[in-house]
Amino acid sequence: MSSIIAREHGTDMAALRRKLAGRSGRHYWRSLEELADSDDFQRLLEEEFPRLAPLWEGRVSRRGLLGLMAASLALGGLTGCKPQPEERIAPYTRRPEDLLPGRARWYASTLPLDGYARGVLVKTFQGRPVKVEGNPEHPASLGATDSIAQAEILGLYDPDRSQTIRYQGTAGSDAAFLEQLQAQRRHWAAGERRLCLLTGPLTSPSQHALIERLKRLYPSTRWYRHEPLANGAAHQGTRQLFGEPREARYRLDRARVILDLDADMLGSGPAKLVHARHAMGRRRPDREDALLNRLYSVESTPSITGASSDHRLPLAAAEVPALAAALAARLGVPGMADQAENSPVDPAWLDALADDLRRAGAEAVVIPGDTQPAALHALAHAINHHLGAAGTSVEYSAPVAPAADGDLADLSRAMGEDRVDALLMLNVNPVYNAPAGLAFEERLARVPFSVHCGQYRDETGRAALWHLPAAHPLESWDDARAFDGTVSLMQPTIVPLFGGYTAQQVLAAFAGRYRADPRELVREHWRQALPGADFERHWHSALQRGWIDGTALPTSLPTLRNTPPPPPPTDRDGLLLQWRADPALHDGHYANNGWLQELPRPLTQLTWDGAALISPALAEREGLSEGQRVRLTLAGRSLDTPVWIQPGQPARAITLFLGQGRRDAGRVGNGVGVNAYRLMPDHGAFAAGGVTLEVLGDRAALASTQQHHNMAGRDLLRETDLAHFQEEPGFAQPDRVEEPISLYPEWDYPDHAWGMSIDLNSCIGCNACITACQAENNIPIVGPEEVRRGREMHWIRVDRYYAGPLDDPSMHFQPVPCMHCEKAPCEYVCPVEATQHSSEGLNEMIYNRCVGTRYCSQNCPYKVRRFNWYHYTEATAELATPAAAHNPDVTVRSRGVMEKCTYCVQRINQAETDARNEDRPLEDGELRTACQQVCPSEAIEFGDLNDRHSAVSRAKASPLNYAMLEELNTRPRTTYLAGVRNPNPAIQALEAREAPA
Amino acid sequence: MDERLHGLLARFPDADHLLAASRDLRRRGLTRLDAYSPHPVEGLDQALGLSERRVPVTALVCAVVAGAGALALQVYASLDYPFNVGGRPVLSWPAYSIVTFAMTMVGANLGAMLSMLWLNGFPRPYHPLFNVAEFDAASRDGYFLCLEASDPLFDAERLREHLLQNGAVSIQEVPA
Amino acid sequence: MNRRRDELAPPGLSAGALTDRVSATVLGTRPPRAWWLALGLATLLSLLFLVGVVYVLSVGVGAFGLNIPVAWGFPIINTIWWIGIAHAGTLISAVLWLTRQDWRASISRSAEAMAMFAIVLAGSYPLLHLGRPQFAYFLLPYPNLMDLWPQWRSPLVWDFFAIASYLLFTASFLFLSLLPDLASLRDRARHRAVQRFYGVLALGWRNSARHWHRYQQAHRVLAVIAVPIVVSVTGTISLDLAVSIVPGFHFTIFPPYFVAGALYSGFATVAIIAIVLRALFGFRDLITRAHLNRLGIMMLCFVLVVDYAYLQEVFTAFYTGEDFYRSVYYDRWTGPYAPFYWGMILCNVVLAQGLWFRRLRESVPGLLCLAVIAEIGMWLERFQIVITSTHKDYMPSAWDTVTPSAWDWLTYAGSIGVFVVLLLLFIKLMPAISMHDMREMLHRRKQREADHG
Repeated sequence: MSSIIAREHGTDMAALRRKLAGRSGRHYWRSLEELADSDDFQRLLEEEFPRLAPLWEGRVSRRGLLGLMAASLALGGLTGCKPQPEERIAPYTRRPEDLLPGRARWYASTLPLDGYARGVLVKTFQGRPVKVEGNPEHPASLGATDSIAQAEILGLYDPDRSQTIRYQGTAGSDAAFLEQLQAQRRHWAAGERRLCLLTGPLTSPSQHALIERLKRLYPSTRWYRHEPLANGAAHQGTRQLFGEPREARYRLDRARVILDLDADMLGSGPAKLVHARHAMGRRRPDREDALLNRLYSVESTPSITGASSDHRLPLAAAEVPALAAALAARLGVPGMADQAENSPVDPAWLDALADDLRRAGAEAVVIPGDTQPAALHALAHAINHHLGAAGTSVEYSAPVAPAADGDLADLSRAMGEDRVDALLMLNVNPVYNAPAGLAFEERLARVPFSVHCGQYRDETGRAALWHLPAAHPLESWDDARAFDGTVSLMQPTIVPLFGGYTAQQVLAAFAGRYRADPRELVREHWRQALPGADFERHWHSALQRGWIDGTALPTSLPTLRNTPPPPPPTDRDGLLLQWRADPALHDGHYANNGWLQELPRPLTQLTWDGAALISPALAEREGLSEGQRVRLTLAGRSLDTPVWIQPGQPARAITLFLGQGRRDAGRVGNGVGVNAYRLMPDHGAFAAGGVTLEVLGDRAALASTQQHHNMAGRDLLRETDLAHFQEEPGFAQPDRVEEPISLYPEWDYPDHAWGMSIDLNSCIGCNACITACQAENNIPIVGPEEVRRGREMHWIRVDRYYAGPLDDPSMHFQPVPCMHCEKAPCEYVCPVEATQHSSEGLNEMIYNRCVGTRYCSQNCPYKVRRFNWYHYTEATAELATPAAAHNPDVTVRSRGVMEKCTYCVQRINQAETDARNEDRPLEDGELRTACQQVCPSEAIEFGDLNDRHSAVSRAKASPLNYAMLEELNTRPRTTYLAGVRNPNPAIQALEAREAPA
Repeated sequence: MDERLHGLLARFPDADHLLAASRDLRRRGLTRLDAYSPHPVEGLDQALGLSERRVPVTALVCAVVAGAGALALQVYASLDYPFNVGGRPVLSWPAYSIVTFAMTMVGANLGAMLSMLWLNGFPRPYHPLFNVAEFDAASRDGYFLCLEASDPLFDAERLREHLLQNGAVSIQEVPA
Repeated sequence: MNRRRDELAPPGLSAGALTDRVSATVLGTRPPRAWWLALGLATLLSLLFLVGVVYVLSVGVGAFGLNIPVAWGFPIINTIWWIGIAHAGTLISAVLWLTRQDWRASISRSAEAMAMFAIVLAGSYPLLHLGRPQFAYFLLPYPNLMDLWPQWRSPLVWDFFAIASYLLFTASFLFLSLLPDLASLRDRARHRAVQRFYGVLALGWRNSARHWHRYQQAHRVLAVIAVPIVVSVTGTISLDLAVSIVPGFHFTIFPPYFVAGALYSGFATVAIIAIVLRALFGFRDLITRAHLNRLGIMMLCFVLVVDYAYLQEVFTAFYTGEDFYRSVYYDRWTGPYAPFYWGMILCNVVLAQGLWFRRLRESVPGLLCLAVIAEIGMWLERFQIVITSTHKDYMPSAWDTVTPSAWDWLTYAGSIGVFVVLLLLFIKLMPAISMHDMREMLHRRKQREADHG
């Protein structure tokens, strides 16, 4: 079979270009293989087409076998069992007030990411957290969350989490630890030895206070902060400009023209959810309350921000400052005049952009990326200042995170010089994510007393003398500041499962307070920090809300002290290596989280093992095809990784994703991908030139959930630009019929008729809905092998399409859940009525009845059904989700049954029951599906179609509303709102001129 | 002696003689006689006055009953527990035709098979004829005619005559 | 045409001699060495089948090379393939009997046996295909507390009834034709045990005119219903595909097209078996070149219908003017599974034309090759229909391919082993040639000769 299909690879990009050039008008293609019709590409296509699954799909894994043996041994032991002595136990007579078994309770809490708070509501059943939702009142959440927050639930129950104190790798006791600590403390107090702290990017006031206390107790103490994904450029840049570090806060709800300079403002950063809501949530030209902003992004790596922009310009990271400078010059920013000429891009494009920004004035905003050097930040804010945007669409406050004494580089230098006698590493993993140049692991060995506290006994936990298990955020008392400084409180929703310690406890212990109560440590701080008579009331209400009112940092308009420095000179050619956080695994902390590992990354749609992104141009030059392994060498260090040909990637740029290649992450994350931190320069830059690429012989089978698929000219995703929409509002409904005809009788749905509308204008393709659905509906993890075979289980997928030229395509997202067709093709072919319609128009699966003929999936034109090929959910399965993490309201499916999106029927029933019990009609909006609730840009509407005034009915009344594959007359209940972009006419004209006729 | 006789078994050289003999003896009014041949002989059943049509009739009746039953079952099942299946009508009668047809065939099949076995009196492990060694030839190339003693007109002596006249090559008595 | 060449049986062959010869193959002492050899190999193969089945049942259908969108694979392909093979058996034994084709006499028995075993295998694959085979009985209409019945609109329910009724039919037809021969064996057998064995099976058949009378009535009834059954069973199976809305499945031409294909592969199988019988038991004079010739002619007729269907299918696909249908065909021609499509064309369209030549039809190796080609071609046809239709249907984002796994191949190859084992045991225990049909045929021939003087 594979011999039939396996062909030699080799890709002729020129052919692709010719093909694309030949296309006129908007032609969508899903990815490179789109150009399947070209023979050369056919080869590439077929080369990858078959899932080259190992011929023998063995299921009895080594661990499975051991498990079985263990089980049989255990059973053998049973023969020796004696009857248990009779015991009396007390029945559960007096239950806590209003704790109804089977009823969920919600607690406001906080999940930090990079130290910044994201307010969440945690859903618990009998004291067991099962789901995380955004806290609608929280400034950094507005009710939404991201995939990582959703996946925290799985992380909480991860059996691989650290469970005991360890001393030199062997189990130790806290008594033994405290004994040693006691001895050490005397030396520190006496100033004979120096204690150093290494923390992540923390913003927690209470932790900071404790650190300050330590520094007072032991004056020689130094506190270092390690931010694997940032380098403080933002603060440096603002310092250069304003004389003091400021933190920018973007008010996109006030901005009409937004320029994103390699910032990926929708996909990264502590305010991404707010940005998504403000920038994308109101891009609805069919509404009167629309905010039709125009989004430009200049990016060095294709991101969801670029994909959602009206104009996207691929540009190698190192050239972005030059572009900003040229732009500043055009806008007349003082001191930039000489920069006008060395624009790395078409000056005409830049002129058009400059005009647009100038026209918008105070309603324009330029957003610099955190991975960019300080110079760019200075330039960007100079432009903002010059445009008058400062104060309106961008505000400045003092830095949210307190300043530390140094960063990882400083620490490791100190360690190298043996100036560190004791080191406490709090929730950091430098052994894994320090640049190799720092030789952190070697130097750590020279520290006599090193303590690591973390959720996992990770690389650092193994290298340190002592390892203390840390409590999971859902188990901890803690606090953190949101992007705007708002203090958010973290309250445990469950006692530490594995007896972890909170950061405060550890810091307190180092300060001499052993075995302190974590709750008291936080309360104490706030009792002092919050003046006022009635602390208890204030505290209690704060816990209920999840955050403390009025703690946002004040903003002020900084005065311009200097002109921005000229951009650092860069060479315009040669390969450039860039580092970016993995969209799912972040800095690598989440590597052992199966939901995140299996989450298709936006754009690449890759799961599990990642790959280096290269441009089609580079692939053409090197004759690379997807999955080909290459060796990247930089400054004497090299890394072997497969490549992924990413349309829209700047020609000379190669992007590596951080967060993979973990050695000691756990059973799920170990050895997935490669560790890109190794190649990073010591000074923490996120781009470096002078990299060499060497093609290796072998290839890796990458687990992408969608390969080589194109739109084949089918109008599944409909989109146009504003001008066209205004002259032809009904463009999305070319052949609309008032009364759809059918051979079959009309069924009426008297009480409710549930329906969904997905707005392609707002969807930013962040994939949070996928993880939310997985968490809500107990969707199993299948692992890379199965994903490669095309057996991923996600109930909702986000399709990605490209349009236009290979080097700079426009990118589009389309979430696809079950369509819940009224004339469902899947139903009439099922021999056992395992799938049929409910009285409210849901297309339902009856798992108990399903015998697994899979006919329904064959006959589903949207291919949204998923099948349990193996027993993915059995306890002994390789990647089984811990039972505790399951949503008790949703059946756990077993082997051999079909499953699919249910419109979260459990939520529907809950809401209906509540309404019935309270004898009131069901309000529109009180019932939300998991995907709808998590969506940061509110792209998904769900509700009752019988209610003319429901949000979903109004959405479906819009002229943009259309049904996918409506010609099949399946009458989908899920419909889409066609996309309308808002491009700059001047730039459109430019492109029209460039495009070959 | 006679009571203990099952009948006379005459062997004929070929099918034509057997046919002729059967006709002749029927004409003489004998009723309880049967012919045995290694393969169906055309005209032999008329000659012996076998004209019953019970097998095909049973088959037809069973077919109709089974078919109607199948259709009724499907209609009943659909109404008994109506579902909205893909927005199709509850009573999707065209879809029922195939099962109905299949069951009709099953009816005819069983009807024909079982009635044939039943009417032939199978299974019949013992029969007096099996005691006649030569009778084995009936399943090879022997053509036999058996005149049973229970026939009112049975008269061994006279019938031997007739058989010989009809060209019987050998005649022997079959003990009951 | 040359009458000698057209001889269906050696001239002066008497009914007695024939009966003795055929029963000797059953009652005679030792079967030929070749028989043992074949049995040994086939048993090994069927053990592999057992291994495959056990493994798949224990770990789940994930063992097969399936995914979303290609959720149907080898089990379905093999079901269609086997059921098709079964059809020729029915056609030969029933339809040719109705049309009084003398040449069917000597091969009808093996054809019926083949049909029987083919259906058993065809019926076992759907169970293997199910995600939860232990609940296959949900497809049965049985009264239950939940008042749940089968979903009668589903072609799979139709399938169940079609295959079940076909199994019953074939079984009863086979037994019916065996009945007089069992009696013959009973009468020939010398050992008591053997006599008892065949005696019990023969139910006391005495070749009486009354028996023959009712026997022929029953036989006629079955033969008559055989015609619609042959047409309907594969037709129903093809509805599994045709009733769906999948481009590549959804063609009205499927039922007749599938029937023709079925009969084509079926006659090919009969040809193979006939050739093997000639070799094994030296029936060269009973199964003559004339038989092979006629089998070849039948194959030719049906393959021509199949070829027409291919053409028709492509025409329809393009005539719809629907991109979905067209792209399915572009994909079949140029896509990753193109080798299977062109392989099918090679076998069923190009090489099959060899059947036009009488010399080839009558030469044993020639016909054997053509028959094997037919089997392969028909399997490829089912493969490309089942696999390549959903792997590239409506949603490009869902397009994907599957690679058949070792378990796919194992359960397929193994099933052939099972088939051969059953067949070999049958021809050893039962007369491989219908003695009473032959006797009747010889009798009729004698009469004809008498009439011609």
